[in-house]
Amino acid sequence: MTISDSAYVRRFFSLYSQEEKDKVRGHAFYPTDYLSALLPTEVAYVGVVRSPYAGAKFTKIDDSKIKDIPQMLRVITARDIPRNASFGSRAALGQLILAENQVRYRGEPVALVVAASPEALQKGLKAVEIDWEPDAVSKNKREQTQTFHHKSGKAGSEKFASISLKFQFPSLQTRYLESESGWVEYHDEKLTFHIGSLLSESQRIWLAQVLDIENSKIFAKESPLGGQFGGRQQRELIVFLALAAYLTKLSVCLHFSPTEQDIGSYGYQGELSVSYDARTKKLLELKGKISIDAGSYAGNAGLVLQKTMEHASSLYDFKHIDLEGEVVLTSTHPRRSLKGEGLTAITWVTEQLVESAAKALEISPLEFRSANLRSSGAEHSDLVLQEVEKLEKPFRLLPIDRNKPIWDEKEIVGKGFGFQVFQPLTLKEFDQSEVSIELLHSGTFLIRTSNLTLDLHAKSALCEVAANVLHTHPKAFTVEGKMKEEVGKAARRETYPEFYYLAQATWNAANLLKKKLLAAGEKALNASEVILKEGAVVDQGMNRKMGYRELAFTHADHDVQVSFTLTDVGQPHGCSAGAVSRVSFHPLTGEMRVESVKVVLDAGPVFYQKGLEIQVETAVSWAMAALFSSEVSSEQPIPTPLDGPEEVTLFTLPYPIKDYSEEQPDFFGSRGITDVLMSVVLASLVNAIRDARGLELEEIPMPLEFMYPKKKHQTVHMLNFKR
Amino acid sequence: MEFISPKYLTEAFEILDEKGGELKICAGLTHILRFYSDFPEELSNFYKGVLHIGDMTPLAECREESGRYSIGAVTKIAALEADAYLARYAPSVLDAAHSTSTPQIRNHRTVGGEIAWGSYHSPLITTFMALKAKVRIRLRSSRGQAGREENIELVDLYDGEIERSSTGGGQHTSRNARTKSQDLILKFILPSEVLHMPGAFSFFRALTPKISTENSGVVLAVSGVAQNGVIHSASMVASGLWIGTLEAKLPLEGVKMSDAHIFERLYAFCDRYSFDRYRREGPSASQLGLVVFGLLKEGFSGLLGR
Amino acid sequence: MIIEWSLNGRPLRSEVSPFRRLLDYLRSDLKLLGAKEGCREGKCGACTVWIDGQVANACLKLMGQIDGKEVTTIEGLNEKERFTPLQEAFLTCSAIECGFCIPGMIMTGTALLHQDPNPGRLEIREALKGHLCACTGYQKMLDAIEGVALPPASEGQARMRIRR
Repeated sequence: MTISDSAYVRRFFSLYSQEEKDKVRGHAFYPTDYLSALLPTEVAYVGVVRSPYAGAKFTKIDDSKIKDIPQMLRVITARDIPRNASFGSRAALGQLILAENQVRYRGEPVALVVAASPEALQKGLKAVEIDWEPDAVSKNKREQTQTFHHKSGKAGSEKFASISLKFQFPSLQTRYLESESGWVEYHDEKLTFHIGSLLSESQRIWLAQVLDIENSKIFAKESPLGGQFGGRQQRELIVFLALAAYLTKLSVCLHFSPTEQDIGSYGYQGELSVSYDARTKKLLELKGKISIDAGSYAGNAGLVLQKTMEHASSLYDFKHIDLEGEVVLTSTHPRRSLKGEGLTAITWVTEQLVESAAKALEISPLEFRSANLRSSGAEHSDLVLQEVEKLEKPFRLLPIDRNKPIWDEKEIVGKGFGFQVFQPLTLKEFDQSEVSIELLHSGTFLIRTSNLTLDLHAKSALCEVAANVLHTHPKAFTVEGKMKEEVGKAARRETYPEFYYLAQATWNAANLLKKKLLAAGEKALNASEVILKEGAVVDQGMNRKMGYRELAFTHADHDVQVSFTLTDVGQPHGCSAGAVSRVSFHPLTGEMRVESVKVVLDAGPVFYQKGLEIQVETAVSWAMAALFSSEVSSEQPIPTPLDGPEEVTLFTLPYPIKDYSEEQPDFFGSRGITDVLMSVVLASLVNAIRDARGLELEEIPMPLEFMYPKKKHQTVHMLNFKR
Repeated sequence: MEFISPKYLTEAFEILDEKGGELKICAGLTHILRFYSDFPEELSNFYKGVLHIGDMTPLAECREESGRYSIGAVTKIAALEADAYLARYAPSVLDAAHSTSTPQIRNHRTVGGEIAWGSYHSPLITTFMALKAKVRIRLRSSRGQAGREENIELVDLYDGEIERSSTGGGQHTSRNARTKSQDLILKFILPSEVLHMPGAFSFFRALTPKISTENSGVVLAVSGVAQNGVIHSASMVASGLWIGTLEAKLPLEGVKMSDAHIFERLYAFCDRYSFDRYRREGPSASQLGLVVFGLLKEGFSGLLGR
Repeated sequence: MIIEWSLNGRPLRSEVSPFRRLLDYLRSDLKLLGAKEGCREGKCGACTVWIDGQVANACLKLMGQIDGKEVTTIEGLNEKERFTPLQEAFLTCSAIECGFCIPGMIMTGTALLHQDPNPGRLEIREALKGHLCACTGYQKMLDAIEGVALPPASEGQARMRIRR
């Protein structure tokens, strides 16, 4: 920033954005708040009739009883939908919006009920009758749909030492705290969504196709009072609201109960093996098979599986890679990605194998990794490894003293490393990032983006970028989302804005605005040349200045607003991370503590350190949830503050960005940070636990039998009883 | 449905005698509202109303009476954590209270509600059993006669299991309290021979669940007497998600209060004990044996000041 | 049923079904939206309010139980012209992401600091045991509460402990 906090507070009285202030006071509104208190009076209520069976056919939906229920409006079935498309365009046999005559999973939507009151809605949901023919066979089917092969290099003819590991990573069933809910305003044939965040362009286009209307009839608004839930959108929510509103010509609202939430990440299982040359201490081959359980419908599973197979080799230079993958369908709820494009948890398998190879070769895991890094595309990974080495010197665990009674062991400690590098592919398609910036009369700036709404820390990072270019304080900016009036054809299905591109667009927009401010400043000060400094335009020659607030206020006719659309993108910078975790186990009760997690992250230039710290801390929390959820009876395995760890530390590689107010930096951060953090932390925890327990962990969540000690026979040296 | 919230005992007794069979007795409601999301509709087939006793201060008194300590049934669990008498004479109760659920729940859940719900993972039930607590119950009145009160051993309060189902699909298996719908739990009594015996000791330990709002696999309470550095008696009660109620005398009679002797004996005891009789779910029986030993070891280490 | 209670310092007389959950009544009838509905089971802590000065899950309280009680919500804690020290600490420590869990955390953190002005980090963790946050991993919230717990550098200001 180029203006101190105290100077900023003196001008604007508060260092905090309206959004932050609202959140800390409980004044931020979320979609469930709309439904509790903020809906307009003339709103209808929509609910979903769902299949009670996994795998069933039906021939008739009988809604004849609803006419006897006061305030019931209508029932919507598949044949009422102008285009009953599938969710997600990539799947060949995708799940239809409403099932036409058969369902694959329990809870699959079959009909919508719309009523004028919540009480009538509940009665209406019970009044719809469907003649089901459950299919017991399909209920337990496991069906392979797609296969993939990822191959590179050449297999050698010699036989070398190899180790393999089977793995299983079932679906992580969880959700955020707030239930999916929202409402849509119907006015003049236009639909305006109030679901806490914007729609992406491709979602808008898809909805328009489903309803057979123009794109321009569909809008979304962020929560107007500063609080929103960050771009998470449930596909059922938006299309059911759209259908109900469009077909009844009424504003409607929808609230999903926790049991109706569209949750569950992809599940993985399979086997990987690595072979290595004991003489040269080099990794040679990575082979294996990976299955992804997509639930009832494939959705994006094929794409996610391909990415997983690419990630499996992590940052290592295998001479030969031969991986087979398959997408499997089961009669469970369709799965989806969690924390980015799928939980690339395959890395923890590779990391366990690399650790085992290093141990078999009796060299330090770090040294082994360093010697096997990829020659290209992983330059920064070596730096990451070097930094990790500084953090944690490799150490050997002292072996359990077999002469001591078992009750004398205080705790068993394990330390594990995890690494991953994310190398993004060149994008063939790109959903344009448009950013506009406007100087307001208050002297603050409004940044608008038409991409999906960002979370608070991503917004803060954009503010840092803009503040640097415009020589003011990041808190002088507010970030808002606004959907475009005109919609072109969306080239890519972007479901979450990439900070990387938005930051680039923001820099360019700020640069354009800078030119306008300078021109306005020259006119205001009647000077030939001014500069921007500390939130003001300054005529250095005459030692005069005018703050942005005065500039905007007194020169209201000046055009101090710009817009920039990023269409051309270069290769985004990949992200590398290494994590070291330390865990301890009580030798008998198995009580485990995650003592510390340290992460070294190459995230490119860091525009907002705190945002990255929060990402690391969240990744630790989710990694623990993935590991420990076998003990959990409900579907919400989110750790509490008591679960630890004691210490989470982030070290970022330094990038000399310095002042980028005049010159655009080479790149704005990295892509794929969220994915990498989760996988790396998970891998490091798994390795630490494995180190402590001395056992291969083939499955996460950790089975209970793994956590607690097995019966020890002769390893316990017991003192003689004194009788 | 009716909601009746008496303030005085006599008032409550009259209501119970008159229509107690139609009423669900509730205090903190933390168990009920968590489990039955449509309360009271979900129970409307069984009850016509709710008798709310959570605000009855006469039932929330804790005091010493002739060497015994009585804890009123609607005493909040958080209040036990701050009880000076218990801190001195029965610290295991404090630890058990602190180990219960979350601070929000402890502030509003009553001791009686916790005991009546009967969860296997309840720290307080296990600890009270280890301390040989009694329950004072006012039984429903019979024809022409006022209800009478009686003391029963806490272990005798339960008979088998009860399976509760909610319309949301929730299932919960717990100990079945034998009280009838008009019976009212008044207080819990910790006997003087346990609390005031010279050399009396007690402790409570529990496994910390990994996602810490979940319930503990094993909770364990021990009470005993040691004099002149020698243990006279010690017994334990263990239960939890993974173990049904397990009461056992620990083979420590005559053992000196020092590490090697105690832990040797306990290890051998746990090694040979048939946990599979009590195992409900979770790790294997032999692993449970090691877990129980670990908790015993932790507890006795604490007593020995290690 | 007529419930006589006090809300954020104001005595109220409400005609409401005794079986109405306090959370629903606060949100839908009184339009006090600070307490959030996250789980309806008393596990997430997003609905935390004070009842007679002690933290409680509003989702597990019936209005019939509120008779004669004093309820405080986040709206009652807010000060007019400024933030409370703990709110300020949350802002300074960047402990907020989506913000859904924050009102509950503030209620519990403030109650803890009233009871123990100098809690250790473990005590803070235990006090927050009844809260879930899916966005942040908690470290900065712990920093915020711990920061406030230190003696103030000057009157009216919370001093932030600098952590590397």
